[in-house]
Amino acid sequence: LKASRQRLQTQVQDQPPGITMLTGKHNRYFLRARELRLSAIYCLVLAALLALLALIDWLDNRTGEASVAMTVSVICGFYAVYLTLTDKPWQQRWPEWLLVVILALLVLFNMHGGMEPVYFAYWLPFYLAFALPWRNMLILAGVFSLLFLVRLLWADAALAGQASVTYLVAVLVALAFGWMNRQGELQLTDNMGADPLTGAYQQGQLLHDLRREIPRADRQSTRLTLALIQHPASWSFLSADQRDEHVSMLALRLSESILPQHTLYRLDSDHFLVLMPNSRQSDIEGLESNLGYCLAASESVAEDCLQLLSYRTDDDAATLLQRLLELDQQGREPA
Amino acid sequence: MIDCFDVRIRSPMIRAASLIVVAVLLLLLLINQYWLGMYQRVLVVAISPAVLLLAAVALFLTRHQKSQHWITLPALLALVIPQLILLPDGWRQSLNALLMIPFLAYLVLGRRLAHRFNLVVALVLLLETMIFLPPLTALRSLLIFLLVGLSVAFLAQMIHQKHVVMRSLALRDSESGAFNSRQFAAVLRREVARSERARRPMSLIGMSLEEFGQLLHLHGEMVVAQFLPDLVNAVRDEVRAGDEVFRIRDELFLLMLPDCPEDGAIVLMERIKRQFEQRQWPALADVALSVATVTRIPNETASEVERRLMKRLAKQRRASLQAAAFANG
Repeated sequence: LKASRQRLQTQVQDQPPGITMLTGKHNRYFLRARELRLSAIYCLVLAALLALLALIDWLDNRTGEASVAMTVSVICGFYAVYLTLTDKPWQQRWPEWLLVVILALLVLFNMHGGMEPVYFAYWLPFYLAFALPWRNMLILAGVFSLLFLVRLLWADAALAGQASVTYLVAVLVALAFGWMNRQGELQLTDNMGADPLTGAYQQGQLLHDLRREIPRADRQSTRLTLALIQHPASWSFLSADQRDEHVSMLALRLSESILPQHTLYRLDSDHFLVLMPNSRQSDIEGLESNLGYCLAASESVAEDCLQLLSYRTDDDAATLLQRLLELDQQGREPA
Repeated sequence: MIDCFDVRIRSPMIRAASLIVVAVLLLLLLINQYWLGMYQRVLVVAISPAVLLLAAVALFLTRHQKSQHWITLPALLALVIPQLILLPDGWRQSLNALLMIPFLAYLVLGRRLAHRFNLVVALVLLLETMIFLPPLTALRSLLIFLLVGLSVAFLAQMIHQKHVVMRSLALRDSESGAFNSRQFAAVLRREVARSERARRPMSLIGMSLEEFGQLLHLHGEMVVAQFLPDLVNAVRDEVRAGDEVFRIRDELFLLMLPDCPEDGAIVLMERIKRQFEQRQWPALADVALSVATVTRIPNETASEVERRLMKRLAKQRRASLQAAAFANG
């Protein structure tokens, strides 16, 4: 225990005071960070290509087309900067909607001169699949396709046929990608049992594990204990990133405090649970002691945050989980 | 084990359907161009829908084959080459038609091959336009092609990346429904610690599908993917509530048996093997299973138990092969 405490003390001292949630190779919440990085790169590449296109059009004395390309390039550039500067790009959807509406209007109202803006229409469905959720993408792609195909009726007949075929292929492929992505995501979400922020198991996995552990506890007549760790109510007033940071730090400390045969879960209420099969009184005391030390080091969790619940012979997995959630609820209610 | 997105995008039916849709759209376009008097374009491009329809039929007929690029690559070339031939006479029309290629390539070729194919088409486009068209038009054509191609490439990359990340957080194998190797490593460490502490036995049973590559080749990924959940459910029917099935590699499944002594594990192993042989597998008549078991000895670590099981399983596989060769000979 002493060695473990020394190790923990060193780690606590080494940890920087404010860990960044969205960058860093050790960040577990990498999904959002990677998506953000890729989207920002995509927008910058688009901005660069469009700026080059605008330059070529300007050199070719096509000032109208050059101004359209330059406008879209500037918008993409600004959007890339916005994505890079903001930590929560998809909490507010209005920038994506604004960009999509501007692009759609530029395409629809600039086709009177030549057929150049038609190229923007080809990548618009892909941008929709890239930036918007499936349902929104479906609605917007449908409305835009209708308007675009109607607009093509007034365009040069020789080019309109080819443009409409290419556009239809683009829309169909974008829809196919969007659909396949959504189906794959749904399937993977079903199989995903670990929380991306903390690496702890999710509440769904707890029910599965209880179904395994209860027959084993009955068979071996051993003690099965659940330790609930609640973080203070004051955390709910913190910003999303600050709360994530605290939760992540607490999970790290907890995973270091528990024994190898224990399992850590993050409940839907954001609180943590340690499943302790074959538990002895000394295990619980050890966990309490380690936790007290770790939580004091993190300076953010109240001392009475740990609550214990033991398996009773008349419990099954569902009733035990129910009792746990009731205990969790009671703990959250103000005294 | 393959990605959920990859499973769908590699589906021969999706590929065939997309080629048929494009062929129908091209036929309608040809009729339109014929009415407009663009006879030369109609004559040159007429080969494309025919090749696409033929490729769709070939994709359907060879749907069990693992790789179908030998069909999809020529089909895409049949779309590209006529447009490159017609490019000097009507670059706007041809460029519009060539812009279909990046979309289709990611759908029918897969991500990596599509990256390369589109790059080659972009280079050929640049070369040809530099020869036959003014330099500014050539550059404009290339930029427009890159604009569209990169949009599709980024989307494909983003979807792939998202699925890789999500799969790394998944505990279950999406094909079979069994827990995956990541979860196995965590559970094995936990169970070894419990076994050591409680001084209770812990056993593992390894099950390996023999000639898995040949099964895939003969029956196709889809048939094998349908068989795997049945296999996992059949094993689960034989075990206790606390036991768990894991899929470690394509062909390798492990069964974790906490609090199970060696004789119990041997009895269970024989029962699983017998049930597997007696059961009818309608899709895969020729499937065979190698099984082996180990029981943890005191002070043995998780990796040592696993290594011992793998050795025993390899030995069992060799013995099965020798027995099969002896029976045939």
